[in-house]
Amino acid sequence: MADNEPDIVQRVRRRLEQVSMARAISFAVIAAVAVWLAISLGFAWASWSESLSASLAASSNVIASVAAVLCGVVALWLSRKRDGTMSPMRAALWLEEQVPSLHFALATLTDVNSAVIAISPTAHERLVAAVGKPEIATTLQQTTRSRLAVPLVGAVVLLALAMPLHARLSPESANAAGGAGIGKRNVNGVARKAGKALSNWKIRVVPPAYSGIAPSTFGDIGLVNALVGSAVEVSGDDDAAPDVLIKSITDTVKPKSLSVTTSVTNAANVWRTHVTMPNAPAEVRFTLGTAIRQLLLEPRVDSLPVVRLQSPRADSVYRVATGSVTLDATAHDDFGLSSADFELIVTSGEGERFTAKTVMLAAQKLNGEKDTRLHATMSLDTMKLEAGDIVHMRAVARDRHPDAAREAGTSETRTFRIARPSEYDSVAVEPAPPPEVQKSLMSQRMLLIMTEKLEVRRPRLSREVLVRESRSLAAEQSRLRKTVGDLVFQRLDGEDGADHTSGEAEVHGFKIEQGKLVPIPPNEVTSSSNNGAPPRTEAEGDESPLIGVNKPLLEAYNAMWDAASALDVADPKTAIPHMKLALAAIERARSAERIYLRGKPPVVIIDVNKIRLAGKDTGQKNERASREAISPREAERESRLLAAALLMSRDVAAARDSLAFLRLETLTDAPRLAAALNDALEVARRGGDITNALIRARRLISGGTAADSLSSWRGLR
Amino acid sequence: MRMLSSLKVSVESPFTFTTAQYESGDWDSGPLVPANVIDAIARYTTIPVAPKGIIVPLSSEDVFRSPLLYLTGHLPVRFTPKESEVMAEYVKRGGMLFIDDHNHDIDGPFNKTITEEIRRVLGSLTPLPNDHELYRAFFKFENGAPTTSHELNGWGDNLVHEHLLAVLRNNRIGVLYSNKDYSSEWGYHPDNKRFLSVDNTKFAVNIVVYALTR
Repeated sequence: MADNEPDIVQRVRRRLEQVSMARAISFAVIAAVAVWLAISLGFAWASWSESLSASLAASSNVIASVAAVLCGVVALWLSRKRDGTMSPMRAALWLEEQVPSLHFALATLTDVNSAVIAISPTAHERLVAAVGKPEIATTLQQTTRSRLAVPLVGAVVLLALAMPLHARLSPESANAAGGAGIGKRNVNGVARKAGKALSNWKIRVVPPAYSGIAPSTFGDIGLVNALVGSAVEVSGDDDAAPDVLIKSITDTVKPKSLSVTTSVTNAANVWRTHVTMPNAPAEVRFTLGTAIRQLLLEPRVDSLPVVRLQSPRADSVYRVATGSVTLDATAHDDFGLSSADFELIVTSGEGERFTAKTVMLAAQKLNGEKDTRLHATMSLDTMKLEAGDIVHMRAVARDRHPDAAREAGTSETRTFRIARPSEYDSVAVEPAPPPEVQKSLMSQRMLLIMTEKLEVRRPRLSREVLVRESRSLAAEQSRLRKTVGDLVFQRLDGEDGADHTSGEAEVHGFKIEQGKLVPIPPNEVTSSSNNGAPPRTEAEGDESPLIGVNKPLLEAYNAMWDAASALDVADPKTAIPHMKLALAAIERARSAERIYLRGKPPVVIIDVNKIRLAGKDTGQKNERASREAISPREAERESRLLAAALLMSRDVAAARDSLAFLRLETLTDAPRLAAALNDALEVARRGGDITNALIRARRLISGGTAADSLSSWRGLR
Repeated sequence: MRMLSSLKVSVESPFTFTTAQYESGDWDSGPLVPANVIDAIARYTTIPVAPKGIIVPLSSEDVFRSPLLYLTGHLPVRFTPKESEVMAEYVKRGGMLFIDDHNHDIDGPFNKTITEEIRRVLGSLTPLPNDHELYRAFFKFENGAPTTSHELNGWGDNLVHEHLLAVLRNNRIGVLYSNKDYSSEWGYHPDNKRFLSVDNTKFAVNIVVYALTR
């Protein structure tokens, strides 16, 4: 520094240096805060959108702070570099700028060594006096304010904004501030606003007594996994008890026992909340002031006992209800069994009448064993099963769950059926021979075929050959007739004779006329004819039951007699119709004896159209066609008719003239219209109501019917 | 009725009455019921209906083609695992299972076993209120399910059952269970319906309309 330099230069230099530094610091603060805010907001957004990893979230504050400091330093350096070093020369030049009359004397004095240039004291005083004016100090203050105002205000405003945002964006700051901040969202999308309140609770889980599991205590956890029905106690030491709300978080299972109770003990302000573990996942939400926290309940279900039937391995059908069946099963439960047995349901009866009884075998009382084995022998003899009975057997095990409505674990069900005598369960059973009726049917059909062939060959055969073959068929036919007769008489009295005499037939209510069996009318039945036995063909109505049952066979018997007679005289052509009749009768007899089992009724097919009366229409169709458009000339006449009708109410004379004009016009090409108009004019002349007449005329113009009403009924002619 | 007319437009194939055939018991104890129900549907509604019912094994996924399944019997019922699986899936998909106890006896083997099986496979049966919309689905039954002659005559369990039972799924009937023995009540040839002063199969129309429209 030069010795001649005035003090004012040093003061100005220092002030300008301070202003430059203050500006640089302000810019640095602005840059740092802006960068910190940007980075913190970025992390906060990433956290809210759940795209931020936990480790990165934990170090977010450090990252933002380091970046802010770096940016502040850079801004400071840049600002200082831009302003440069404040030397005495720059201060002198600033003063020269304020006092132009110095003509760089001060700058020269400051720049040049005083040893080189000597300055008189008078000049020095004048120089000091020039730069020491009060206006210079005022200008310096104004310069200071103008240069510092913007950066300082900017820095202050930015800091004022950053402070509350910092408190909200930082979880730690939020906790420190008593839970006023915005926390991260949890996986369920519920914003966790927990501050110090509710931040430290203890959880005690007491499983149901029947499970045999010891109670357990947990620290500050957010998820409890426990057996359904467990008592969950949550305790904390906050100043007041929180509000607690429980709700199910699934809609697939209907939750039970969703209730919660909360109490506060006086000692040390400890609150306790009791929840019973529901059967569906649930959320318990605690709210204390602005703090909210949730506890998730994950129920563990007590599964039903698992029962496996080892023996028997398959259903069975017994021909005879005798012997024994070995039953074997295992049961397992996750918390222990209380009982196990075999359950048998025995069903007897058929159709609409059934009886059922339930039997338990090998019942065991258990005391919490997790596994057990069931073994029993089912004696079919002692069960007194009858044909058609069905036994449903399964193993059943119950656990120690105290709920009375608790279901039991069951095994598969095996079914044992006692076959009815009519059943054939094995394909090795030899088929029974066809019944007599069927044998007769086959022979009769064969005889008919042979007779038809004989009839075809007859023109080519000699008389001797025809008689021989025909009588052979007649003998066969007679043999068959006798077989059918045996069948009839066997049914009547259980015996079949070689020959059926008239006396024998009369015993059964028949008589033989010309070789045929004919029922004896009731008035001809004598006490001697049935040898004192009760009449077996008592008439009920028109015919006896016996005749009714055997009627087709009797018809076949008699038709065979006619056929054999015709064949005996070598007339196969006459025999064929009788043989066909016999064949049809035998078939009817066979069908009559067919037993239709219950459960196979005839298939009913509903005639939907018939029910809905939507069948085919066989009468006249009443189709309606759209009316054809009238010609322009008729349209013009119609409009004139309407105009005349409207005119009728105002000027009757004019209207009559119009109608008369129209009538005249239509006399040649539309005589019916003209006649109708004439009727209208006639009515108008009489002073009557011409409405109907005009309507009729209008219908004639448009091609419709012209009848005023239905004609009177004239009766049938 | 407006609903039915819209139904007529939307339904592509006619409604086919389906009887469920299960392994145990006598599933075919009500052979004339399908024809009678079809007759009632044809008589009172415009629902396109197949003239003949079909029988589908309960273990077959063909049951998913039918919106309504009819199941009855006298004997104990134990569903096979496959039948249980299909039945649960059927109700889950929105099908309606109409089960009728042909014994009309709550102590009968059918009732005891089938209710157990329903509870095991589909959940508990609860009484269906007598003002349920089932009783207004087509005809109005002010007092709930109509009684049957078997109940009034004191046959079976000598009870007049005041409610039908049901398993509800999403407020819709998934299983309709009856102890009233409609299988006997409706077990006659449809041609004989003309001899009845009051058609006792009208309630079947409500069941079908409910199954198709709710």
